Order: sequence, then structure tokens, then C-alpha cells
Amino acid sequence: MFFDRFWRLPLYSSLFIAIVFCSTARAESPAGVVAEHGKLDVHAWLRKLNESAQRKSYTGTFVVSTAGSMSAARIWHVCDGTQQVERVDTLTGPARNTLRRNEEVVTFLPDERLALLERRDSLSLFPAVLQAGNRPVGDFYTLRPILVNDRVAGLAAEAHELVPKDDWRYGYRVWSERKTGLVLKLQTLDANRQVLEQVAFSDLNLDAPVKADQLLRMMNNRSGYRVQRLVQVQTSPQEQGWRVRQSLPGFVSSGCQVRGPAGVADPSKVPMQCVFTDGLASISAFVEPYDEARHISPGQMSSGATQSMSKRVGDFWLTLVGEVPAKTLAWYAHALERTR
Amino acid sequence: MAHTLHSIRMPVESPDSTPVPRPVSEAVSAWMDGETGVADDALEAHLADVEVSETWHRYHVIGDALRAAAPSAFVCSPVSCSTQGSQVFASRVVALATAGAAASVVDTSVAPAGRSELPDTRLVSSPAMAANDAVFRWKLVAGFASIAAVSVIAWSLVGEGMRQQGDGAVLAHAVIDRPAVVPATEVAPVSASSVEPVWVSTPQGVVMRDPRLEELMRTHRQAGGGAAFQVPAGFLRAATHDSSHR
Repeated sequence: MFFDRFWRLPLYSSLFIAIVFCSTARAESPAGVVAEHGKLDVHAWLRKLNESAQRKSYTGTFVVSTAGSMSAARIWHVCDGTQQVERVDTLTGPARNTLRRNEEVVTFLPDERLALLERRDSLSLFPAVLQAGNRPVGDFYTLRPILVNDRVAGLAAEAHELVPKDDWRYGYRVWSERKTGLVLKLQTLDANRQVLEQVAFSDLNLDAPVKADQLLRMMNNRSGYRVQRLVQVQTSPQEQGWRVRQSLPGFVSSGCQVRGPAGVADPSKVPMQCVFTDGLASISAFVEPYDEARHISPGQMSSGATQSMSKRVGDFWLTLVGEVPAKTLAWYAHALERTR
Repeated sequence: MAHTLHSIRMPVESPDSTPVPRPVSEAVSAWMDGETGVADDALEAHLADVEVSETWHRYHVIGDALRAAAPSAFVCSPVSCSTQGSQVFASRVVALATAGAAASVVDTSVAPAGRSELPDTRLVSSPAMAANDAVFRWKLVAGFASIAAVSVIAWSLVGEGMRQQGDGAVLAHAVIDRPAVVPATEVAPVSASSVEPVWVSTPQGVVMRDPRLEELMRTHRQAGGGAAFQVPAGFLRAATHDSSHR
């Protein structure tokens, strides 16, 4: 009898519970973000994005725009399991074709009939750099989803924002392709969340039948070009007699290098580049002997998201460049000192 | 109305022809084309008639205006070449004439040749007297148009200047006692360069465009330090930006 009267109760209860369960259940993001207590894991998310960028094959047109300018390039990217091969042709300004196979890079300058060969080890540093210091990158940025269903370059995308926890770094908005996590659009934001620079695909083909062989043939065909090999000599600030008096939280050194043609790649002849990074942003400190004729006066400069600062430190001229606020560069300009 | 008319040679009318009554405009037109036998000295008497005089004056103004403005290759448009179009045009010229704009001093240099040769006349308008001068709003329109044109030109020049220097490495300095601008030589893609900085005059003042700094920025972007978005964003940003800085 009881059941006859209240038979609807269990039905409605189970329905109610089902609704509550479905609405509170968090669907895992296609980008494979590991949710911990409802908080998005920055480190895991960045790793996923980076892996997609390397493993996926695609072709597309890429546009970099700042307040004052816009430039575009065409990209072909192939990953066949054993190697990554990439080709980037500029569409704006003087022609420049860059071909890369893993860390080997060949840059063709058609106007000058010059081909530059070099090895860029920095391309393989990620994601180790995310944990190089004793604090993870998630300590300095908060990851927030902002859009679930957006569309970029004809593809369904989701948007996240990386909000910096202090004002030593910029924020980012990232649009990633929903299925693969490939970054489709990236905006760099200042403290007022104004867009300083945007890097975005205007069109992208994820099923493009590009073969690595074709790109490699192009890369190895240097007939008609003068070939110049650039070497990179790795070193460290300590080796060169420099130290950072006090580093900023989150920023660690990822080594120094001297880059130039063989025989010229020497700190006394070309600027030495020391890089500091927090995993997302990087700062390059170029150190060279002071030259009164060339190093006129210290100054600050801004170009899109890239800030720059120059000053004299003893017998050396220091130039700092980075996608960080000017105060961060000023900190390093002050913190870098000679040990000998 | 008293006007100085250019003299035209009128054929001597044959003694035994009698003028046939016809509309004044046609008659005046025929006189002007030399198709009647009206003698020059008889002209004065005819011009005493007001209607004849006005028609005579009007036709001369139209003819002078057409001859003065006529291009060597006349492009015919459906409007201008139609009868109606030419009448509209003629009435506009007449309107100009009657408005006093053609206070014309007609050049009286006459070629003493046969009647087929038109005298050399030029419609010389008095200086600084535009046809629509009397209408103030057109002066305003002309003034605003001039200001707008100058503003557009100035804006485009300013925008061009900012675009050229906004994308490069520019250091603003108060010191302007540098020597004359040194043209920047082509920057070699390797670090060792001896390119002099170039002083560029921009709307922001005299600033220095430093090719060396641009090269360092390019090197920074290429190296990147292994930051998260280096591949592909950083790599692409470097490869794309490089071109704009060369």
C-alpha cells in the first residue's frame, strides 16, 4: 500500500540524482587536462599542447600581429614518428625559407643566395624547462578555461587563459584545437589584459598529405646558394664570469651560448647570449665588450610583446630582450654582475 | 548692354535678297554663321533691338566659352552629345554669363583671313572671380574639402612614418647632436656586424633605429630558451618576424 501511494518517489529521486550527477560531473577536456580538485593542472596542460604541436602533421598559414604591424608565413609540419620536419616560408617582407629537421635548421635567404646551417638545441629543451627550478610553472600562472566552443581557422577550438600570479610576467590566452590540442591562436596580454601580440593560424589543414621526403629534399638542395655554417658554443654565466645577484621567482637560467660562423663564435667577438625562462616567457641577456663608438647610450624599447633594455655594466654592454614587462628586464639589468 | 564684340566678317548680302521674317534666334544664328547678307554697318541698327542684342550676346558667350574650354579630343558622352545635353550645357553657360561671371574681356586679336577662320578669342575671366563665388556655402564646401584633403595626406604620411619605425627596434634619445644620418648597410645574418645606427626623423622626434638591436631580437626569438610555446608559436614567430626586421 505504501508503495502504491509513493511509487513515484524513487523514480523522481533517481532522476534527480542523475541530473545532479551529470551536471556536476566534469567532462575531461579533449586536451587531456588532469583535473585535481577542480583545478586545472598547468604543467600537464602545457605538456599536452607541446606534444600535439610536435606529433601532429599539418599545413597552414600563420599570422603574427602586433599593434603596429602584421606579418604572415606558410608552414608545413610533418611528424612521421621518427623525426619532425618543418618548413616555414615568410609571406611578408624579404623572402626567407626555414627548414628544420629536429634540431638541424637550414635558413635560405633567396635575395642574398645565402643558406645558413645551424643546430638549435633550445628546441628540445621543453618540457624539462618547466620543472628546471624547484617550483613548477603552475606556481606562477593560473589556468582558467574561458571558451568551450569557439572556432579558429575553420576548426573547433577551446580557449584558456594563463593568468600570471605576479606582475613580473605577461598573461596569455590560448586557443587549442579540441581534438588534438594543437595551439591555433596565442595572445600575449599585458597587466591590463590588453593584447600586445597575437600569433594565429588563419587557415590550417590537419589532413594535409605532406611527405617528409619532399621537405628533406628541399632542405638538402642548396645549389646556387652560398652555404654558411653557424656554430653554437655552449657555456654558462659562471664560466664567463657573471652571476645573478638575486633571481626572480620562477625564472631559471637555461645556459649561455655564443653563436656565429665557425672561428667567429667567441665571446670576445660576438655577443654572448644567456637565457632565463620561467617555462612560458624567456629573457635573453646579451653580453659583449663595451665599445664607445657603437654603444651610444642606454635605452628602453618596446615592439609588440617584446621589450628591450640596454645598459653599460663596467667594461661590458648589456642588452636584455624578452617577452616580459619592462620591470622584469630592469631587475635583471640590475641583478647581473661581474664576479671577476 | 554694351559689349565689345569681336568683329566678324559678314558676307555682303546680295542686293536683291530680302530678309525673310523668321525667329530672332535663328536670324542671329544665321548672322553669326555668315549665312545671311547682313552688312556690318547694318549690324548696329539691328542690335538696337533688345531681343536681338541679347540673343547676339548670348550666342557669342556660348561660342567663346565652348571654344575656350574645348579639348583637342572631345570625348562624347551620351548626355553631352545629345541635342538635349548640348542645350542643357548651353543654358548653363548662359546662366554663367548672365550671372556676370563672364565679365569677359575678349581678346580682339582677329586673324584677317577668310570667313572660315575663326578669330583667335580667349575667354579670360577676371581674376579671383569664380562662378559660384557669390554663393557662400560653396566657399565653405571648398574650404572644408581643402582641409579634409590636407588632413588625409598628413594622416597618411604620419601613419607611414609610424609604421616604418613602429615595427623596428627604435631607441628614443634626447641627444640630437649626432652627425648626419648614416645609411645602414645590409645587416649580415650573423652576429658580428659593424652597422652604424641610423637616426630617423619620425613624428615622435628624432629616434635611433638600431639594426644591431634588431639582430639581437631575432637571435633571442630563435633561441627562445625552450619556453612552452616555442614550438610552434615561438619558432614561427621568430621565422615570421625575422622578415619584418630585415
